Amino acid sequence: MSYEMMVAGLEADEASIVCILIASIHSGDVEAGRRHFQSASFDQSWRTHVDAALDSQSSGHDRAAAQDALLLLLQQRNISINDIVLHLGSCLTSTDFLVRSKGMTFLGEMVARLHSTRLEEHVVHSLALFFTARIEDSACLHGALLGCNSLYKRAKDVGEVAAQDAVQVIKTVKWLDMQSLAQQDRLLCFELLVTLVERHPSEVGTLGTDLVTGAAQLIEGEKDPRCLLLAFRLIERLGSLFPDPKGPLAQAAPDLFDIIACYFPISFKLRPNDSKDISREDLIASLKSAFAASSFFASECIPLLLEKLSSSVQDSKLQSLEFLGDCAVAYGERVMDEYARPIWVALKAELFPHLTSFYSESGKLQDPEVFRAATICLTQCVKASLRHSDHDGGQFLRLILDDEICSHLLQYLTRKATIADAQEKHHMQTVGQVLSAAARASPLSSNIISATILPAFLSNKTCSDAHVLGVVVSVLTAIREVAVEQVSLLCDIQWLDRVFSSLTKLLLIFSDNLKSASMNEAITAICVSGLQCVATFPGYLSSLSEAQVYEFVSHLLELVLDKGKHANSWDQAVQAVASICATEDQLSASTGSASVAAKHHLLIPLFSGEFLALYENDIERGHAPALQFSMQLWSSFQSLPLDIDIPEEILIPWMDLVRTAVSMCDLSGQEAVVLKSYDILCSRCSKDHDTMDGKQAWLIAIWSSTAVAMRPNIQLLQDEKIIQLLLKTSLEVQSSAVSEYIAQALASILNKWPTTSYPLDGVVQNVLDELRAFGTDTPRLVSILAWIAKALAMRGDNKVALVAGILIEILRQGKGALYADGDGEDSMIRRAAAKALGVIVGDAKALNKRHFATVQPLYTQRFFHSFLPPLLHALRDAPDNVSRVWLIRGFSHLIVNVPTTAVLMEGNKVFPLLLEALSNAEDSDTLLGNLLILSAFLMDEKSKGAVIDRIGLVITCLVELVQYQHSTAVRETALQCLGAIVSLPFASIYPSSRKVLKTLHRALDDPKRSVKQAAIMSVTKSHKLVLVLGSVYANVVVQLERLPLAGETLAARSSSCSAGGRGVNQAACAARLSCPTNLIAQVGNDGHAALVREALASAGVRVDHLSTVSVATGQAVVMMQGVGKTVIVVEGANVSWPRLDDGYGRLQPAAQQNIRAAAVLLLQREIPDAVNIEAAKIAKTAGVPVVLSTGGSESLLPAELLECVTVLSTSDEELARAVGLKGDTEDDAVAAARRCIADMGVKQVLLQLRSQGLLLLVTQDEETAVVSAPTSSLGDDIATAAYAVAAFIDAQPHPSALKFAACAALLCNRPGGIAALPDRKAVLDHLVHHSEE
Amino acid sequence: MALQNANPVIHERKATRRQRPSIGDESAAEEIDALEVFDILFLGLDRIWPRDIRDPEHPYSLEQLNVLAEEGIEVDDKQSYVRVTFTPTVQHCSMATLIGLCIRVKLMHSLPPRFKVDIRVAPGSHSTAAAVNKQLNDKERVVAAMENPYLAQTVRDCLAPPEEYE
Repeated sequence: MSYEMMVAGLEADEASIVCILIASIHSGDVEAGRRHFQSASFDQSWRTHVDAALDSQSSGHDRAAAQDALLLLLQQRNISINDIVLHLGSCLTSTDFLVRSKGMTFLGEMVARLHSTRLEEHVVHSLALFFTARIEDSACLHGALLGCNSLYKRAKDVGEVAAQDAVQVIKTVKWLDMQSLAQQDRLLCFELLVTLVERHPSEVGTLGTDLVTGAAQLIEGEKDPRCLLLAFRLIERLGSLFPDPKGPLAQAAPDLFDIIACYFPISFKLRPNDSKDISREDLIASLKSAFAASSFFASECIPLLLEKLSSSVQDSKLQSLEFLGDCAVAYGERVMDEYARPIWVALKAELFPHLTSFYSESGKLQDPEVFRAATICLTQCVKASLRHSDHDGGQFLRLILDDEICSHLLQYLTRKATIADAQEKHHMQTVGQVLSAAARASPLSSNIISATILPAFLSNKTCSDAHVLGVVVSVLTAIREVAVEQVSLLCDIQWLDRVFSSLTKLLLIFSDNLKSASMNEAITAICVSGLQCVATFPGYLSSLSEAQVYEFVSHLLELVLDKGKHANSWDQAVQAVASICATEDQLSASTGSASVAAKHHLLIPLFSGEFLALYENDIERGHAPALQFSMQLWSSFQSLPLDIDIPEEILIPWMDLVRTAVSMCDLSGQEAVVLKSYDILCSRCSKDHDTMDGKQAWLIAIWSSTAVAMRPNIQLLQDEKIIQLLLKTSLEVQSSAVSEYIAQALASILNKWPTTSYPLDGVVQNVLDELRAFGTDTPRLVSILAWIAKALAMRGDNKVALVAGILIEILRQGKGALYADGDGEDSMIRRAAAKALGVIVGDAKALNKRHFATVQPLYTQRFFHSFLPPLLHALRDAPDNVSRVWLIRGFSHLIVNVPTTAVLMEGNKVFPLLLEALSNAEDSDTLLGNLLILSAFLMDEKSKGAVIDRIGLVITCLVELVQYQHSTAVRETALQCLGAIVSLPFASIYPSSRKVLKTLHRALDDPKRSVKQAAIMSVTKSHKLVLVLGSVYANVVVQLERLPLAGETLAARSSSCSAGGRGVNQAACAARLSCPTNLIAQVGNDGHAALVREALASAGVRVDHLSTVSVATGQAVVMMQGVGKTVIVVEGANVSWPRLDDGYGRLQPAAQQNIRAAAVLLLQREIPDAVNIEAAKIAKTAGVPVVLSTGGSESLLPAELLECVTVLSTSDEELARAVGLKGDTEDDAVAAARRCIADMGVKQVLLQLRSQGLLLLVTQDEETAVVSAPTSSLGDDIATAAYAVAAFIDAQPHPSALKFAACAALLCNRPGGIAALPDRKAVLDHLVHHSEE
Repeated sequence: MALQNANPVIHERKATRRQRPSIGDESAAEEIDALEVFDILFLGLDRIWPRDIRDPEHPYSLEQLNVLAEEGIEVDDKQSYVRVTFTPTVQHCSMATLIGLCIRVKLMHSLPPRFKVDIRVAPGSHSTAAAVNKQLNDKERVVAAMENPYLAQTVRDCLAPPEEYE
């Protein structure tokens, strides 16, 4: 045919050639075609390129070069694609499989590379036909697919394929066969199909079932991820192509879904050497859109997802939830209505794993990721089932609200209950999150949920459980998010009206809870977030009145300021305030000054908090922001109107803030700030410098804060002028607190004054002159003076003496000190002067290292020591009592602030003044400070002497203060001091001890609980313990006719065994006299030990410190022959005191402790002297009186022991020998006793005289005598113990104590050993009886 | 001596001293109430030691043995009257008198003298409740009991801080 055309001379155009080509293929007239092509040979050079490109012999590089050359020619339209096709003719039609393949691939590649070159429509059309036809030839398949693909992808402007051709392709291709192709070709197939469906949806759509079937065939069994990506995309397209429920997709849906269902869940991992062009996320996303492509899948898809959701693999759960949510949204309300229940059941199982019985036993925890995914899914489900025509918000939401979890919640909301159970708490939290997820779905759902919850919550005003509040807050937060989103989309928020109407009530509930739950961290946190949420509702804050805003904000502020109490929620509160500030910014400026003030009020602590936080972390880093902030601050001051009246409570925080900020700047920064601030100060104040009124005081005040924080080496401009300005402002400003701040600035400037440039003395003199010149004798002036003095004292300048002198003068003379004709209250200026002394040594927040003050070490001590002599001098010369009282008051202010050690160092001089101060105190704070110093005196070992010397005065003073009505703390401290006094050595306080005890008992009825407790504590301390350290014997008494001879066995008439020994006797006696008594002694591990223990216990002696050693208990065998007796003594355990492990002492630590706590320690000489010395030393150090009986040993008393003894109890027979003197008459003994008191450190001697009974020597001359019955060794012990009890426990004066002792000794001469000792009642009865006689 | 109740049931101690904020007003009186008396009897002064009364037979405090509970304390500060009702561990416990004595001594030391202290055995908890009550509230007999050194010692032991026993 073509041959004929040629012959007919028709010029063969490209299209016809291709047609011929195709015809020849079909007709099998290959030979004819080939001949034709050969004849139509135009001899041109490009052919070589084609050949080269096809030549399998040449290298890949050459082939590519040849292709490039051809491409260039084609693009420049030097040759046409027809030419190439013609040239390739033989190749394309060759019977050789390989050659055909090669040719076709070449052609396909060339067409693909021409994708952006314009081709004629008919060319494209014929090429399309050609390629489509060739797809069936398996050899040409690759090239043909390549060509088709690129042809169908062509944009319209470069010539695209007609739609009918596309239909043709789909019809032609046998998709089923494609499954068996190589991956690369399958990919091309998918690409082709996707392109066709995407480019020509309507035309392709007419194919209907064919298309769906083809796609299904192609996809089935596909495993390559890249192919699958396209496959899923294809299904997604098909979904949108066939929405008709009777359409092809609807019919094929189950099958089609079956094919893709097996890919879920996606578990794809990129192999390490794979190219990264595909990811798991891509696959999931595309499979998801395939699932969601059509609601026809729902009946298959949702059961599948629910099934996978119930699997235990986390990944599968997560994907199921993700898919479920997206599918729900895609499938829409009708499908959702059908599946709502099963979905809700499945979701509930995920959201509340603790509710399903299956898990409840194992206590399975919620997986947070799954939970999050489930809440997202829930939101989507709610959104999907919403019907806007419907007012109940769709079936899904209905299901949630009808569920038991909601009814459960409502129960909590409507009654006042706190949730205690941990699981229940967790449950509530989950309910809150579920409901907020549902609310988040849409405005409608928000509205419905708020209508369900809020009325119940609001009707029950008492709800205060953190978790119930938490539910409400999380729902509110969700509603707020929806509202914010709607506002940002410029949508109407009419639906919020209902919520809006309850916001104010909510605000109240939260702030009430915040107030009442100040200690509960959890509730505080919830309430803060609740407040934050309510306040940041779009447009809400602006609907409130100013007062409401102010009140609400101040609640939060309290929280912010109270950082210590709410350490954890502090950050949260700051955030809340910040976010509310941000909202407030949106308010119009017209709301007026109150809100501006509130805002300032707000920002200040916020900023200071931030600054301090920075400062704590890193000072270096704080420089820049501090500088920036200071500069900004000053810039804003520049623009603020001068005539505004800034109240003190706002100005003070401002000033603190400026101080902090400026002090944090580095040197250059401070220079910049000082320049700028000075400029502003000058420009705004200079005009009416002299007639400054209170209005601009705030600017000067803030400037002064800048000055406070300056480094010393920064030059302040026009020094003197500034000092004058500050002085003037400080005196004239209305608020005294602000005035004090300015005075501090003044002091700070003086403190940092460079000594080189200007003599400091001159400046101080100037200030003093200025002060005098002002002529108004106000206390404020004195306070300024105090600050100046402090500045000077701190830098160690001796000019401070001058100022201090003025202060003393003021105290002494009152107003007359400064000017003769000053007016004003005398006491006021004196009071100011007294306080000034406290200021000088007290700590000052403006003058310290952080504000670069010059601080000399220990300046307070120095000042105190140098100031004390002139003060004492002034006190001596005080003209009248009033002056003296004021001087004392000044002194009390001074010592409160001076370190206690410095005060104690001057103890002797200071103590009398301290007592005077205590009785003249004016305010309870100073009084308390002075009392604390007194307690320091009482505790200090070295100062005890000074206290004891004036103990009567101290006690009188304290007894008065225990009734001090104005301060609980004073009463408490006074009682504690009394407690300390009770613990002092008894002898030193006994004259007043009755008074003390009476006072303590009266204090038990104090109105304040803390005071009562202090009283009980002190009363407890007054319960005194008698401690005896001594010997224990088992006395075996045998009655004999006569003494046995050596080697003789003699029968005794009778025998008895009882406990004895001096230690036992004294202890038993003290216990019988109703004193708590403890005995430290040693026994062996034998039967006698038990006997002794029982005897002691029955006498009432505590035996905790009776220790057992491996030696026999001490024994005394007493052989009685009528009236005479012979005694054999086995000292045993009494003399066997082992050294302790530490190698030093012999007394157990517990015993040592007991000695220190005792009221009196009784010693005898039946145990080794070393033990006695050890105990006596401990007692002496602790101030415990020691009573030593000399009986028991005839050796010399060691001097070491004697000097610790308070009372030496002895008899005229023993004394002289014991102290190493000659003679044994009574006179010798008395003389020896005097020697003891005079030379040996003994305080009192209790002497038993053969003739006169008892004699007590208190000093060398003073003696008291009592006639008493003859003594025995038991009588000795009883007299000693009874005297100790009477003198040191009962605090009786010497004569009556002696009488008591004598009486007790008299009564003990009854048979029966220690069990027959007299008790207190017997002694007292006898005494009464005796005195009556 | 055989123990009268060899195996007492031990109850848990109430954790800590309950915090009560002080009334800010200096002049306002904080009346003595049941809790305060309870604190005196059991926890005493937190600043020194938990000074509680021990059962004479066992090293447990009366609270641990459930002998004395906060509910058993009635206080009327205005009338200066305290009534403490305790429950002996066993019906025939002869220690009831001693326990009552300990409570009385402790309260005597810690309450203002104006208070009248009434100590009772819970009705039905003791076989000779009436006799015990009479004995405990007879001033003369209490004084006499405290004069008995052995008894006084036991009472002191009961009131002693627990550290010394460890």
